[in-house]
Amino acid sequence: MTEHFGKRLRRLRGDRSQKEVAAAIGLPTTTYASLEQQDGVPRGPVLEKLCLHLGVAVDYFFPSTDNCVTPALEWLRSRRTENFSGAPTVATNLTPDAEVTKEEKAQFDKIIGEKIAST
Amino acid sequence: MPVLKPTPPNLSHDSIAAALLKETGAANELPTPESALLDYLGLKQLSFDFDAEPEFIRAAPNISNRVRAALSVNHRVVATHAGLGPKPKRWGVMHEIAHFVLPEHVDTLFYDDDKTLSPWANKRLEREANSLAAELVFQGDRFTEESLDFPFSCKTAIELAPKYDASFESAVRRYTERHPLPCAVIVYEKCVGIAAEDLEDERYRIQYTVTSSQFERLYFSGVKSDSEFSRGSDIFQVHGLAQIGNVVNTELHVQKHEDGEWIFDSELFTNGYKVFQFVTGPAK
Repeated sequence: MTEHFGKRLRRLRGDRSQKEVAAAIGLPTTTYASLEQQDGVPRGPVLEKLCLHLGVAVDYFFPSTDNCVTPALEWLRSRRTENFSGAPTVATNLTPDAEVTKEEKAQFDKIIGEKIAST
Repeated sequence: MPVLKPTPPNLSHDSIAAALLKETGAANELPTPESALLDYLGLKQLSFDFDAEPEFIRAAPNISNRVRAALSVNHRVVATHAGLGPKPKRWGVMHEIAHFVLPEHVDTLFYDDDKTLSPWANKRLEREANSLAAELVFQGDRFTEESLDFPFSCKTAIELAPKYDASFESAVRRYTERHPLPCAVIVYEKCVGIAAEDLEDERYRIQYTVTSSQFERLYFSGVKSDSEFSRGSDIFQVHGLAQIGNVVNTELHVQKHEDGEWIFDSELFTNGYKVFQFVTGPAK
């Protein structure tokens, strides 16, 4: 949850020196340097000052974890074996500027479906 | 008798993309190999020249040249227009894969007919498919994290785009949307109805704006202008560039709702079709 705080902080500093950023937020350079080495996110006024100076939201330092991958994997595995033989037509993705009627679109989907079936 | 549809699982799009990339091994490769995703899902990819097929032209003369891609779930086929360039084709395939793996999409697209599927619902499904396609192409946060190791500039997105086999447009969009710092990109498209050789009359208009969340919080979410931009406008500076993707630095003045204006640093570039203005805060 809080990994890589220092790495993220270093990236935001860009080509400015540690001394410059530390001075801008009112921290000793050594304290700032240690922040760039740590994984955990500091709390309270230090975090607020950093975010204010660097122009990012606090959320930036709290990347979401990927704990939903397992249910998603189960879903994908079911999808790859699912039988769709009853599906009646295809869905065609047209360019955004295409102005077509629903009837034209339905007819076109039908023809593409037949074309695919015969290939 | 009405048919009951099963309730689709409540999964985030990010988690589906992450699972698909992980399960197929695509997460270990760049650019994301679409063939690995297709193979895993048991999908085939075919190309058709819709413009040259008599039955298409007869049935829908106004549509054949508007097709990008199509998904046939019962045949498990992703069909793309043979005339698409490599980047639009790749995007079309990813977009159809997204429809296939997104819960609710297959049921809604195929079992609701055009009468029950409202234009609003259709737009939402298309937007969701594009969002998941971007997750697959840019491999979740991987592109954003990598881009943060380089200068805060649209040049970073332009230079990283080939590594992800992405278009300049999609790379700059992704870069902007996900950047933690305040930035925006304004996209200008050529006005239609002007002959290609009539360069003096060439005009552009704003097509859309994308912002980072910080930019939207601090300034605005989009730039609206009904006017067309003709020669003399700043955005025409990109026409002097020797190479597509080269960048010109300029300023952007935006009227505030109250009195006054914001002045932003901006970078202009073109992909040969559209002009992009990458705007960074803080405003002066």
